[in-house]
Amino acid sequence: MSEYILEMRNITKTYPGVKALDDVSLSIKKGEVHAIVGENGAGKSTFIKVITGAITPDSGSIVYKEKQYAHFNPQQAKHLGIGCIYQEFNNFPGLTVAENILTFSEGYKYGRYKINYSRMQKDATAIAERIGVKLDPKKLVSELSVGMQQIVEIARAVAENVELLIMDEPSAPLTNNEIDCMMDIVKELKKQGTAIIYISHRLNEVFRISDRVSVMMDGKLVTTLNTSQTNHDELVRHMIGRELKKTFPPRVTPVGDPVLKVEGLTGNGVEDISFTLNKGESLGFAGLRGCGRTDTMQLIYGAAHKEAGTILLHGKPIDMKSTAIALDNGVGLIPEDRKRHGGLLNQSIAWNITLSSLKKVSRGLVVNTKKEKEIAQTYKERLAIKTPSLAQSLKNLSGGNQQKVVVAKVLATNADIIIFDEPTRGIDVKAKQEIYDLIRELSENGKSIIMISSEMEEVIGLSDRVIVLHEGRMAGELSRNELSQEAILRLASGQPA
Amino acid sequence: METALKLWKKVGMWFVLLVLVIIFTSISPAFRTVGNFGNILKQISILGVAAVGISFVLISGSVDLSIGSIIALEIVIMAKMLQAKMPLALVIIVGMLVAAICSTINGLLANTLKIPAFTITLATMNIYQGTAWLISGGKVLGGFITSKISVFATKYLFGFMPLMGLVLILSSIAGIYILSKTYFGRHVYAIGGNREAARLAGINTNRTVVYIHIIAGFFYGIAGVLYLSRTMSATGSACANYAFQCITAACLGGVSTNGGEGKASGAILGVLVIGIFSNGMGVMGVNDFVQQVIQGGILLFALFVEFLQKRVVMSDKPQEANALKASA
Repeated sequence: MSEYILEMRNITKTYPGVKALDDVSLSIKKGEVHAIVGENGAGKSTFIKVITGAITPDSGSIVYKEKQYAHFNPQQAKHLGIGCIYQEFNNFPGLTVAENILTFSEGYKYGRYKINYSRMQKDATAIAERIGVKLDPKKLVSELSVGMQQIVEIARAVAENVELLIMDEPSAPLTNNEIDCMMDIVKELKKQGTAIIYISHRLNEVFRISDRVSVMMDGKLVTTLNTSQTNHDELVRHMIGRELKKTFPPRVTPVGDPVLKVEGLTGNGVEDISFTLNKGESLGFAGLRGCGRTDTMQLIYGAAHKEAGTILLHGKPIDMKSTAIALDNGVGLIPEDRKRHGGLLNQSIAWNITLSSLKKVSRGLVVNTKKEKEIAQTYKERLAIKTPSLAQSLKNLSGGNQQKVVVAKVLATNADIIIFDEPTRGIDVKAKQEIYDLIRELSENGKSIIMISSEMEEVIGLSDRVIVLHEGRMAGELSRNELSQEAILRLASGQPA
Repeated sequence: METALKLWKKVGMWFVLLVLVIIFTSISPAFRTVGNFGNILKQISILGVAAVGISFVLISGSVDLSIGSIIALEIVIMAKMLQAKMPLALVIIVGMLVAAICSTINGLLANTLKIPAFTITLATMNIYQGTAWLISGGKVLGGFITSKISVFATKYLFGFMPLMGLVLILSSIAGIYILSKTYFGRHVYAIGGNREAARLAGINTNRTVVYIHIIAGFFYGIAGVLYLSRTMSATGSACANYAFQCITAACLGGVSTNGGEGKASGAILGVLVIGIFSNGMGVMGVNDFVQQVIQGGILLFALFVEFLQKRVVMSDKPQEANALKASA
């Protein structure tokens, strides 16, 4: 008997102008956790789609449980026990946990006309227990945290008896605690014999959980390694095809005087937030998901209404009633959710870059398209935005380049206080590095930065000071030399420093 | 296939328009008269100006079902004033204000209640139309035949262009200019594309939505003035099907009902296609009901082509398809 559950042989898929997959041969062993890493556009998503039957490869073959197939279709893949958890959840927020887990199990298991809910709930609880979690089957999915929703997705795959589970960036929306919980589930599934393909940008997760790791680049498989026999640097080298330089550039110039003072800020789910931001400083905000980091920034940026407290800019109190007022006063924000809040995907790059500074590129009420192009061109060069043309729609760019466009939009307003909310979420290693360099460059040039990030490395590497929140309140403040992962986590989980 | 579809997106409706004109001109002698040209212009200018107005609303990602009722209320009030022999300038100003206020109320309600404009304007549609009936006492208001308001329909420029045709052209230019050249226009597209992203980009979305409805209301108001000029009578049921006619025209011209896409010029093109179609069918003596079926068929065809375009785009460009999936 073969030791592999799945063998992908010489898979090639060509789109006009791009070879999305170029002769990729990759095999998954029974019961292993196999990580796939690579930059955006490396071909990981296309590869997964071939396995789930969402697309048909041009050539190559698939051997699954010792049977050969030319390709799969989605029903077939599902029937064969292949499940996939996508980055964007496919759940039904208006239905209960039990319904989400079991509605799609085969046949009329819970009654043909009237659903036997008590049996369904019992089964859902049993499935949750199988993966070692506690779930309230009667709760609506919309009432769950993102992490719990993710777990419901996994439970659904388990209910469908998957033998090969594909997880596409499962940790992207999760907090550290939630990631730990998910890792435990993955280990549990592995113990029960499920093979897992785990796709992630976060290399530390790859090392924590995988048995083997494959690196993809430009549609090709670069290499497959035993995780225990490789290391972080080697992987990164394979991923980007060059040596990674020091990740976090050091600070050179000292920070200046206070520019932003927040006192007793309350509302939008946070209470009594007070801090000071100095000129040229980069201030990190850490905490678990839902601790109020984003909510605090919404108040400062005028995207939500405060109930109490004051915001002083250069010593002058400002009533941040709207985002327009914030921008007029030099406060800009790069939102967490690039696709939903950051840019307008159907519009062009130039259009997106100038959206927040239209008054500046307009003569009277009329947009000066020549000036618009000049500004867009300037930022395209400055941020190295990779695109054939500025008239290209934003949706055609990779995640990293989309993020650069969103950053350019804020920079174009000439804001001197810039709030980055999860600036590197879902973008590739190279683009991440460019964002890090940019944030440092901005603060060296006298811009004041607030950065929210769930990636500890980032917060520690880039911040001059870190404020930690816990359940909507200040948990503590850490100076540069007090910064450590343990110190942040201690405060974030509500323990005294 | 892809190039053909792209070409269709750019010039498809112009092509349909051309084919319609060629067919009607060659078959029907009555169609190709100068008099009929003036007729067509009169028939389409009212709907055309209204369509310019609703383009703002549609592109901002909203919809307005009450447009016909707004115009009905406006012209009933104007008719009452004309019957009372009030000065024409005052009547027109009041009429335009009524339309602008009604439309603005729609916008304010949408901002406050945060529920889809579809349901809000369904409610206001009934309120405005009911009010129009109440004011008119359930009657057809006429008896101001001597009023100068008829000038838009009766005065011709250069012998073939009714004055209301000129009003349509000027309104179209204004609408197209505002939407495509000004930064306010950008804001309209931004809000239609993604309202939350627009707000976070520093756009005062609530205020912009109100402006959009004020502007749309003024265009509705102009359409009402033209309507009264042409019919010289007013009832509560006037223009009852305008919402659907305008939305049909806008869709034909490529204005997405999802918002963020399309052009005012497209909506006007749609009105031209519908107008020439029904005029040509009319002078050829085709049954009204048959016309209605064909008109629906044309819209369905246009939507089908749009669907094909999207599908081609999705299957050929992996990145784009991913982005679409992610944004959905």
